[in-house]
Amino acid sequence: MKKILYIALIGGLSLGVASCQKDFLNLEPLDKLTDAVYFANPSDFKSYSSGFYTQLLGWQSPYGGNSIYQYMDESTDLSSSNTFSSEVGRGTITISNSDTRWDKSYAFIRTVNILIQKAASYKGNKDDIKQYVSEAYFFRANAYFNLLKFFGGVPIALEPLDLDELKIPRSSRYEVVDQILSDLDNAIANLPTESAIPSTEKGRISKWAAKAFKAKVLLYEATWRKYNGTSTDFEGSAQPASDQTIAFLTESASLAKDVMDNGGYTLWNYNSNTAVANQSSFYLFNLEDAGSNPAGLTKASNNEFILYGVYDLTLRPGGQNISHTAYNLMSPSRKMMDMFLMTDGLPPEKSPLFQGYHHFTDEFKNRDLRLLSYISATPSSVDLTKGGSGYGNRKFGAYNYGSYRNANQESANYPILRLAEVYLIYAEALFEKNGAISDAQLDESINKVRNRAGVARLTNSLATTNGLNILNEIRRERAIELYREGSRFDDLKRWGIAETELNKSVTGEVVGDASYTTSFRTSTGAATSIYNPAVYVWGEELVSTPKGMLKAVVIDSKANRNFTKKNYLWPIPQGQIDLYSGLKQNPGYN
Amino acid sequence: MAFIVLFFKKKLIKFMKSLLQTSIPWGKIMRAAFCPTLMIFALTNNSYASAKSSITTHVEKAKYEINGKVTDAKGEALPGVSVKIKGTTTATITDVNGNYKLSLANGESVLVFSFIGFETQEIAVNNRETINVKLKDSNNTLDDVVVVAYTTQKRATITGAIEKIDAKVFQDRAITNVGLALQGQTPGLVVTRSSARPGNEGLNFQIRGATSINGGSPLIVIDGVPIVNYLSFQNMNPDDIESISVLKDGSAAIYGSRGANGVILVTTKKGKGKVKIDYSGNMRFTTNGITGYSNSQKEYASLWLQANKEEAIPNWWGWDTQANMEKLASGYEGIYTTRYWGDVFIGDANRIDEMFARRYSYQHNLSISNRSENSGYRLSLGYADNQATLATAYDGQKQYNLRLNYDYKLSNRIKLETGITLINAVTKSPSTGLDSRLFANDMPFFPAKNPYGQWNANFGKVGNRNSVAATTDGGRDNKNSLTGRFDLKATVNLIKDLDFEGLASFQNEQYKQEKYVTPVQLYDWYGNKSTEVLENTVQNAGNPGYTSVADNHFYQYYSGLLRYNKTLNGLHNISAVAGINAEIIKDQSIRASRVVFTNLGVQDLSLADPTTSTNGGGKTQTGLYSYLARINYNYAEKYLVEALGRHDGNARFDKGFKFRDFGSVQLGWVFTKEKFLKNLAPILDFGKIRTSYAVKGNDAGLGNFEYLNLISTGTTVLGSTPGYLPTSFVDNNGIYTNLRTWETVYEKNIGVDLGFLKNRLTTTFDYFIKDNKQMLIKINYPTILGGSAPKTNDGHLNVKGWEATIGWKDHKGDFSYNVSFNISDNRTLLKSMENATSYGAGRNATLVGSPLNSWFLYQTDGYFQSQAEVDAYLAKYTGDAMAKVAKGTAGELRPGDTRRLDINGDGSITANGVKTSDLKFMGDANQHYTFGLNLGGSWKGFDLNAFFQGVGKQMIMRTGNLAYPFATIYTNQPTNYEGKTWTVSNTNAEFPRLTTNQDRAYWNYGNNDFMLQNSRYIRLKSLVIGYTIPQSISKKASLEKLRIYFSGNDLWEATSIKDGFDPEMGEVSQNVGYPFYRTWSMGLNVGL
Repeated sequence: MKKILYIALIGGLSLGVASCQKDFLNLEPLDKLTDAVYFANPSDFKSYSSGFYTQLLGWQSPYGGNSIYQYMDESTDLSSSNTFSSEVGRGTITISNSDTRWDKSYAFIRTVNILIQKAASYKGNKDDIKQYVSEAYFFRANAYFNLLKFFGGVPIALEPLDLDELKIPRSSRYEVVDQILSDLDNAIANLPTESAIPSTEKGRISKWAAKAFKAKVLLYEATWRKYNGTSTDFEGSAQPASDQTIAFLTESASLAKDVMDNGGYTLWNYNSNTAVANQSSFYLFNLEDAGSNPAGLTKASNNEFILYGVYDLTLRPGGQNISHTAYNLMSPSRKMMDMFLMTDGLPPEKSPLFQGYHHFTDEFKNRDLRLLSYISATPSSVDLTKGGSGYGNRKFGAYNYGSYRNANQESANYPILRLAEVYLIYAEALFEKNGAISDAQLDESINKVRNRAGVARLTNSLATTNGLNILNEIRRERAIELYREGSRFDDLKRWGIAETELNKSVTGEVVGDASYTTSFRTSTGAATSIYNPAVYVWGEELVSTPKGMLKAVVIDSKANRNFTKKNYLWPIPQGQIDLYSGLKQNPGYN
Repeated sequence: MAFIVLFFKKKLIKFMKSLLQTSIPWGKIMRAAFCPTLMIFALTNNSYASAKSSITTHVEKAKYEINGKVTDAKGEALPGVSVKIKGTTTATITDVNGNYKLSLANGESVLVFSFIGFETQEIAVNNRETINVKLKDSNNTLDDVVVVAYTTQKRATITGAIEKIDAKVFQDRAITNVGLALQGQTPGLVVTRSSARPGNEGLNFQIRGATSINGGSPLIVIDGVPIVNYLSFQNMNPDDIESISVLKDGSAAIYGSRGANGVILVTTKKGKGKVKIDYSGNMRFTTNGITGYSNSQKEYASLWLQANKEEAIPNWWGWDTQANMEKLASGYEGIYTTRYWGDVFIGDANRIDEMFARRYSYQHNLSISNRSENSGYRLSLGYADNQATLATAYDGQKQYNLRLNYDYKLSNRIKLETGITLINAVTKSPSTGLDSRLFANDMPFFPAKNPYGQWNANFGKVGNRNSVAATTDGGRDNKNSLTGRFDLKATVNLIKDLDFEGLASFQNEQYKQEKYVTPVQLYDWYGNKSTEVLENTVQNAGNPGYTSVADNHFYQYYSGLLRYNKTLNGLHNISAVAGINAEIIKDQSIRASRVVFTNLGVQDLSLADPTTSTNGGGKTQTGLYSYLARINYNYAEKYLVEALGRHDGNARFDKGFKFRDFGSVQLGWVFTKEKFLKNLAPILDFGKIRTSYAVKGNDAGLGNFEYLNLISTGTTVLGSTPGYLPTSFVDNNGIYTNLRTWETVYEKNIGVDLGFLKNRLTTTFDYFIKDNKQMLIKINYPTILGGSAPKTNDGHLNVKGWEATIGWKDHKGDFSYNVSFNISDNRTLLKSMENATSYGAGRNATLVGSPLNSWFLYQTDGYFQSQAEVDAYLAKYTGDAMAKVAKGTAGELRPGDTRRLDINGDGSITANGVKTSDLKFMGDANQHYTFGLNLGGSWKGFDLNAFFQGVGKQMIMRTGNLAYPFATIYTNQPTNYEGKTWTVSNTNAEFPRLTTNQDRAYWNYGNNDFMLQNSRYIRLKSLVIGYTIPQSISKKASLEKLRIYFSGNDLWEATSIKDGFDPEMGEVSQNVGYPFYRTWSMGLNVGL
């Protein structure tokens, strides 16, 4: 008996070993599906497209690290800090071997293309997945639009590429734009309206978001072509098939109008709430839960953001030192300070309400509410002993920083496209197309923004009476309203004025001199205790102000700034050209 | 000698290669060989009874009986000694009491007594009936039996490069980590650590240097079975180890795809002798080792003052003024007023004193063992608590070990062996506050607490770091690894000379981690709250307040082997093993976390905020199925031949790509056995030349199911009240391949073993060349691909190296002593790899035509001594490296700054380039000439053993915040540069002028040739001094053995490191602050 047991035991053991090797070698994944069986249900497409949302610009930049600060207008003519990406404002961009904006954009495009490809072979009812396919088209357009802005015309990939399909030459910017517009048309067709998106999914792309985005692309491209022609095209680039400028502007205005009229969005204006104290333009950008403002307003009150990144203190914190950066490093320039309007709707140089610079609080009087929302007028923050502009920024900083939110915890939603910009697009597109805009059209768009800012309406008569150029006023409105939201470089470039605007000295507080006393200089011309001229490497410069030529501290000297036409686009990363010489470099970078 | 010449002849190599060519279907041959034997086995099973009877018939009828007792030199009975009649196969072994009984044909026979560790004796019977024998301790390790892959071999006939480490290495060491104990013990095996923290040592094992840029570590096999995880090796009870064999060359090829990095075979102790109970234990404490990097407030300020004295426009950073800095330098403790930080209190806060102190550790081992005629067992229990020197919170590992080895003979032909192992390793540490936060970031002069007893922030109100607070109150990170293993082995004698062995092993690791972080509020000196919460204690989705992890790894191993051993005419010795090996491992992981957790004294996931829950998990599996065989043949132990191979199949590859063949051919020649060399005998007793050629695989860089396009899932946050939404994505963005395989390493080895002067002096030398010709590398494709293509088998790495050992042992009367030294080196050369053709300043991990980790540095020629020299230099040179120190820049060069040379003479100083830069190759950063030196001696009851370990050469350049003065101005500074830098009155200084300008500091110090330093060291790893109470006394207390000893670790070292860091730390200064420590212990061994 015993013997049989042993034999059975050992026999069993050896047979177990000798049995089928397939039990050990032909194994299946236990926790993952393969793409062969996935994409069978609408929920698969939904989950997959939900993954696209990290491609949106936000505090956690899709390009990695803390690169989001590069998209907050650092080193433009309107900001004085050179802490970030001074290479752009100074025109010292050099060719690098690789560029994450290139690499990541194509990674996003592949991700999106997989869904479009899988959707084509979807066996079920295509209506069930049309929203997600539309999102894919939207995100593909978004990726190509970013590539267009950075690099101009780029290679176009419309399906997941194989290793032998990678030598694709650059398409012209005109072809890229056509592709973006066609993708957006596909997106618009089947995206839900904002009201159809459940509250648990707010932040998903709506039909209006796609339309507003298309209006933005159209205006961007129309003005680019109008003011830059083909001057930024790479060697061998195809020319536009036809002059699409007017058509683009027309469609841009009509899309904007559609969103304005039918989107159901409203400006976030709580100025009438006494707790808000006219600071809507401050609290809108740090809006989180009820603790984020003295009025107890939450993100749910925000019906102005059309396209944005969703953040949350616990689930998806901003994870950047936003308030610290906003309060301490993002300082407005002299030019920005003088750009804010007076309450009478006039720029300071035209308005009798402007109080000058004798005391550092004077220039804040009778001004656009956005000046007080964006810039700190409190005496404690004025200091010209550290080498800064002297102005303290507030936009994007947390309310009660240090107690309501600590460093790195700020988690307001990141605005990408909001109703105010749609108004601005509408007005600009109309004016660019017609060379004129009616008071009614101004009232239904730009004057709504001015109203929130406590500034008088812009009318054709106000312009005529005061010698204002309406186009300039629309552009001014854009500079003020979208301050630090990443539009400035793009705007300067598409208006073809980047060289002239960026190459001037960037200055800060008016310090005056013996003949124009300020808080910084006494009537003897001596520096006061809050001004230490020695820390200003570039000294002072006479600059044109609403009160004439006055001395201001220089933050970045024009000697450093040499922005040229080539800097309108970034160079194609050299590593990519090395791998495929068919990729032509942008003009001026060879 | 002709043989040696032959080795280098390409023909032989070719022949050996051809034997291994993949065109030979090893797998088929082995299957063909194996299947019939299985059938034989089945048949023998059926005819078990008849086979049994047939075996008895061939034992000759007894005519003459002899018996006796075998003892050691001290008269202790020796069980298990083999007693053999010379010239026959008749043999027996002594019983528990050392007695034997044997039947002889007549009284004229000669008996051969042999036993491991003792000299073999031949005694003529001369018609006696009782022969008692005293065996002498053997000095001759050649008699050793060495465990090799799937079998054992006599050391004298081994053809591979195999090292044996015996139990002695682990005896009395105040170490419970087997890996640490192995450091320096054997040439070719390099064990490195980056920290002294128990459970967090960062151990790395490497045999014969790197094999691949993808890494790979030695395969570890315990009692014939690969282990489920490295922990079950590192955390095994060192007291359970009988011996360790390290297979370095082709001997490892039988492990196929896992053999490329060598194999470590561990054999555990089995029961032997009469019932024996052993206890050993030690108590120990630790003291700080090298802490030369630790500076004071005065030293910090003094460095700043010195640096700014050299600047035209001083930069006082946040300290604002020279006055503040002078106050610091004076040692003033009190409030400092600064512009950015407000009022900050500065006072002595020596972090080493504040955080590290003597901690006590201990270990206990208890074992019971016994062997009787039919069975043997050994049960051992171990407990250890190892604490590092952190004083603010517990930081250490508790280890619980249990092992039971039991074997039982069912009959003369069937033997069962079982092994049960349990290892529980519990590591508990602070969740944050260590590493760079300790020392590399902040200067050590922010006291931990303010006068109100609150945690004091560094830099007053704006600070967010305080290591004392973080380690005390910031939460805990507790890890628990419980590994259980059960082995069952059955050996059946099928027919004469042929055994079947079936083995099954089940190993299961349950790993649990509980980590919680709790926000710690910091305050300034006046008791105001700091604006930021303590770094890393902010709770959010990326750093949840509570995380609980449960991983499970279940590994099953089955093998069936046939063993054949035969000696023909006493001259032809043949042994062979063939079999099948099947393995499968299943991993499962579950993790859950909740973001918001408040520590109220009870720590559990369920106490955290449920609305912030997330959870996830995953499981995977992979398997191997292999056919293996090895054949050894030797003629009179003189001419040795060995061939081994494996037809390895792996679930990681797609159908049709699963199998691949590996193997090795080895030859050896014991030339001292040749008659014509007999006259060497008085001096050279033993001489062997051996050589091997092997094809081995490396499985690093390969994951499970990478040949499939898989979907992964995740979450995204959307909603007006934000919430999670499920997401999915295709792994690697849908780029995959099924066309790749293991890296294949071709290795050649030649070795010599020599024994001189009655084998008291032994040496071994090995030289090897290995070529990883199918190294997995990334090919760069245009990134419009949208992701990176998987690595493919397109690279080639070449490694050459050697190992040498020399040992001497002897005794004079009661005094015996031994000395042994081992040393090894290897050189890597990257032969081909796409994209690895350009280099930058510093260390380049991969560059074609260079070793791995090559240094390319600026060559310098002293320092500018005058402004005229500077002007001439600035006028002459441009180039990318000059951009930030050129004329007119803030970093403009001045006298005392470094003169980098334009070595290519193109008028510019450039760092970027392929062949035209001004960077000079300055060797590699790998360890070279790693060595171990053992000195041992004993006299009567006293014994002493000192073991030194070290590295002869490793060129490193300090990185991180403390790389050089003002690498970063806002961190702590390496103050031991002060006084060694160029000043107007010290123009002949070792280092260039100090500067607070970071660009210039980089120019002066960063990546310059003189900053490369040799991290060589020799360290007294272990010192054991013991005394064994004479048995005559201990017997009175009924003790077999009583021994007390002192044991110390890392008690002394010498190093070339100049900047005050520990040579074992590695080059990153961010890790500094947790001192490597010295261990002092007293121990006791008791035998019952």
